[in-house]
Amino acid sequence: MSDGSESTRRHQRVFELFTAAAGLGPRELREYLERECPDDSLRAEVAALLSVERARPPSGPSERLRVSVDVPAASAEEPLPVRIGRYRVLRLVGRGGMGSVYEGEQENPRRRVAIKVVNPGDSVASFLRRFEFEVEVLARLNHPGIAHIIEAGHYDDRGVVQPFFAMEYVEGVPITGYVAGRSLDTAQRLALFGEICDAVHHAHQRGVVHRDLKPANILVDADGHPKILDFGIARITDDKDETTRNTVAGQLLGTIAYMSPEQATGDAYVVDTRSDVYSLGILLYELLTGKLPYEISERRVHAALLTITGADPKPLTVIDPSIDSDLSTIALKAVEKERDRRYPSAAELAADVRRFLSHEPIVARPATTTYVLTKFARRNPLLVTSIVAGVVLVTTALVVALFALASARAARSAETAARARAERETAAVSAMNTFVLRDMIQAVSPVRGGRDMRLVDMLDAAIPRIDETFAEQPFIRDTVRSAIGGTYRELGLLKESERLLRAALPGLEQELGPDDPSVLDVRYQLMQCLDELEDDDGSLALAEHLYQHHSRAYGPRDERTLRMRGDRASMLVKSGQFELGLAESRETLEVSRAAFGPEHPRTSVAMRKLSECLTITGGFAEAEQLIRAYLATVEHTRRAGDPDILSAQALLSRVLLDLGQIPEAETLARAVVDSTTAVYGPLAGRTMDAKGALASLLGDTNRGESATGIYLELYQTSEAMFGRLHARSLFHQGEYAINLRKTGRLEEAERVARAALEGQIELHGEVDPDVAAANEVLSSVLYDKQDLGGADVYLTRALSIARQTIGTKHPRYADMLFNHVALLGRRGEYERAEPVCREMIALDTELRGPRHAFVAAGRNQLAKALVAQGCLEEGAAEFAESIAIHREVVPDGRFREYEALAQMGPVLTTLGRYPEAEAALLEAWNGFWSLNDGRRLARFDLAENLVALYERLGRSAEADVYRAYVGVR
Amino acid sequence: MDRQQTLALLVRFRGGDRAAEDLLLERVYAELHAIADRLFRKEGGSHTLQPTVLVHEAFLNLAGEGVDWESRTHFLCIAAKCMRRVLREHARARGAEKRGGGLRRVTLVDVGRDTGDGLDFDLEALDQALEKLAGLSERQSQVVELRFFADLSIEEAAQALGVSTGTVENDWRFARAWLLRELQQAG
Repeated sequence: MSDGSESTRRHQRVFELFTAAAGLGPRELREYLERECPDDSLRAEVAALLSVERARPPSGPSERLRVSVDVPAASAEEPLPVRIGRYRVLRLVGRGGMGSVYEGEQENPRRRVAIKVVNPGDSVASFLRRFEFEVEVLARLNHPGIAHIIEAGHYDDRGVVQPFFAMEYVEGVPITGYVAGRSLDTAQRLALFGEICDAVHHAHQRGVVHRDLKPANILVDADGHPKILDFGIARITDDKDETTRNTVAGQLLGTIAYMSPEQATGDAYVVDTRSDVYSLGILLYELLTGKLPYEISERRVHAALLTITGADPKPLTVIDPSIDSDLSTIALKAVEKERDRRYPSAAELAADVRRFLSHEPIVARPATTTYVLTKFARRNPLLVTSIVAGVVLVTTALVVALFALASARAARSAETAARARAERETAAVSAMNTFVLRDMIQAVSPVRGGRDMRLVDMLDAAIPRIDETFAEQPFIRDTVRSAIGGTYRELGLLKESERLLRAALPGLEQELGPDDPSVLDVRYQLMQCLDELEDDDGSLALAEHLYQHHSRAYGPRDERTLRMRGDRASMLVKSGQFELGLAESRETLEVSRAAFGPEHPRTSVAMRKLSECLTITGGFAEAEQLIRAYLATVEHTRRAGDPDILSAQALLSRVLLDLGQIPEAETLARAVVDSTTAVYGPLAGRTMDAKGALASLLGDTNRGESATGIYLELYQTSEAMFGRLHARSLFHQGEYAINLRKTGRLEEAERVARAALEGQIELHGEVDPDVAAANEVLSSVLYDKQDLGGADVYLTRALSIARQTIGTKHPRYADMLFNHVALLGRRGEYERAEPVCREMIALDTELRGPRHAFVAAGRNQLAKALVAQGCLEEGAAEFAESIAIHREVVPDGRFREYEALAQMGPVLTTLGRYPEAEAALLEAWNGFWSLNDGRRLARFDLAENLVALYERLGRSAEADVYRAYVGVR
Repeated sequence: MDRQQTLALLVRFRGGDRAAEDLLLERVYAELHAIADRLFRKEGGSHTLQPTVLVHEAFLNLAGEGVDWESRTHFLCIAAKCMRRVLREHARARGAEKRGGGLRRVTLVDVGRDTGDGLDFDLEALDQALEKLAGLSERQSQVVELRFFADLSIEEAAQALGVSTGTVENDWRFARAWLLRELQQAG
């Protein structure tokens, strides 16, 4: 707070007294100050400050500072300097952003000069440096098309030393005026333009970029030759010295209309000779059409910059149809936004112009259609990936789906009537294309003012139009629904996806029959969607349905059936039926291997599915082995960046993390982020998932700080894409809050968590499962802030909302109970924790059966609550029960069992049941070692507990053995 | 100049990237400078500007609408610093010229009910008083800077400084009284 110096201490004291005295009446104030503040001067100061406030109380948010500005009368009234150096000043020619130009006269030899000085009042160091630099640049140029320098020096401006330089005085008119005044024909204009290019090229060859080419700087003299003035903001391109980069980054110099996009974006570092080529292109455009390609008003600099960097210039032939299309092509090539697409030099621009004049074929080619499409993408930088990906996805999905359906039906039905209908539908595909292109792409076109429209808005806007457009064709409508539903899923917008897929199903089923492959595919997509929504029961039910159907339709060894069987097995594991799920998954792999051979894609997928299951049940080592085998198999057959490979790599990263092989896990996670970014773009759902996985890896390995940026980015990206009040944004906001909490930034965490909660309430109303989850997050933050009461309030609220929404029989409700148990435990409220534990166990028993892993976990919690209440015997019994269930239901990966053993051990030690304690602790110890799980070894203080046990037993040699491991991670 | 770039910089800045902060400062400063220049170049007599209006114009130009409130607050924090610097530089440059032009006076007015009895003081004096306050309590001077130059609400200032709103409220009440007294004493 205070640095301890006398004055800051005094200030702090005055502040405290002032603040404490707020709201006291005059007498109370006097009494208060006399009592609290014996020091007269201090008291006087506080009183004075209070009276200032009374005289002018702060008037709330409408109080503003207002600065009055006196602008001097027109600056032209300033007296002219009489002399500058050895020149007599004749008149002020012009005044620009960085200097004034006078016309002057030299006596010997007698000639007129242009004298450039720095504006008074702007004599800051950077301007001076630039000014002096300008002289040096100009001295290197010697070309009839470039005004040459005579002298550089300093002069005394009313006592201030000011630098100046004198240059050749060019008597002429700006090129545009000259051309218009003499009504030159096209060939004459082009010849003049060629000369300008030559002069610019001369400068470029000497490493000088003009950076401010515009008609005002290009005068045509009495002989009809152009001369370029004012290389004032040039920089030498071959000099890497910092001083040459003397344009403050981001500061706009030059005149906007002629400015290249790279210059307009203020990146002084990237401006090179091609920026001048751009300016020359604009000049050419103007010389030929009499117009600038963009309407630019300098009043709104920002809007102008957007235009330059965003809008495409009209072809010249549109403005004036008499202009030759080759000339249009030349000018447009010169003003390409990407400089690589421009002429590489002014000389080559001149050469193409001259080729045109001599009727030779020009080098420039009009832009291709593909290029135009990529330009659309570039204009919408934030949207680029999502839009393009989204549009491509939607279009492809629709076209493929419709063609497949139509042709399948045509093939199936021999009757003419049905074929005619199928053909009508094939025709509808092209209508569909138009729909996508017109209604969807144009919705985001900047021309329609949709610059800030997001992909989601686009899809949302398209959906009602589906109903309108295809009111007469319900079949097409439902096909489109299912395709867009699939797109939503790709984007990670699962609820929207679920809604559309469900809406599409009845119609498709009615039209095609329940066993049609397209219907089954939609069902399959819905299953994946529910899986991602963690609706385990819903997805399992669908998986069962699909598996049964395929099995009936195609037989057990069919590829399609096996795929469904594998998915069903995964769903079983996810819903907690570990044993059955694992067995099914293994079986699927075996059958696939037998039916198709070890390298068949079906077998690879089965392998990947099984490893997924193993990561859930804890069989990490086996999972690792399988995924590596899978990757080795698919490496030859698939491209890098294949979605299956990427998800396998992501999975391997998670497994390695669980196995404690952190560096490799991290390398892999980063590689997946890079690949998904490269393949799908930075904003794609998969990329965001990969980033989320990397962030959680960093968080899990105690590097949450490094993850904060990623969480923030995910949150901001989805906010930018989907809006603040969107489920996905709010989800990431919640994740961000959780990260802030974990990294100890509790104030921020609370703020973000509260904002997320408010957002959820705003979006869903008070009573909603997501609101319950947001309450849970806030509760955890408050807990960390030691606000245990607050934490309890919000978690209790979460539970109450959950009871009203998802009900007391829902797995999520069981999860919340689990958290409540943990909170109560940490509050030391074991008595309250115990019944919640029992409710949780009862619920899990009901949901999953008595011999289920979740029940085992609940018994584990109950055991801890009992032990903490001193019921050691009962606690030990619950531990034992939990371990027994684990042994039954989790045949592989026994880490949960070892965890329970590790916790039961010290309880048994305390109870004096030493042999059991020893057995439990040693089994846990050996178990964790066999799993190569050093992290858990440390977490449960196993070494410490073994040491304690052996010391009690007086077996000090064994105690010493384990003592060596204490604190080892 | 590109809004997305500004947003990206804000994100990096929030992630603790110092280089991004520098770039933002530069960018915001240049923009405010340009806006102020346009106003100052208007010829003829005397007119007034509100720093907070300039700051919001800069915000719209550089970041645009639809920016989340946290990014906006961060932006405004940076803009407050820049705005103060722009005004200070103008005051000094014009003052040095001693030719009568430039901006001199600062008035604290209640825009909501403009009674015309705003408090007048010298811009440089305000700047110096703020410097002095910074020496006594960095945070109080920051609170004033954020309120005066970027129009942050109490809640936003609290968020920006990572303290409670109560703290900002007390700081603001006190610092405001302290400044007014300081400026009255300076004459």
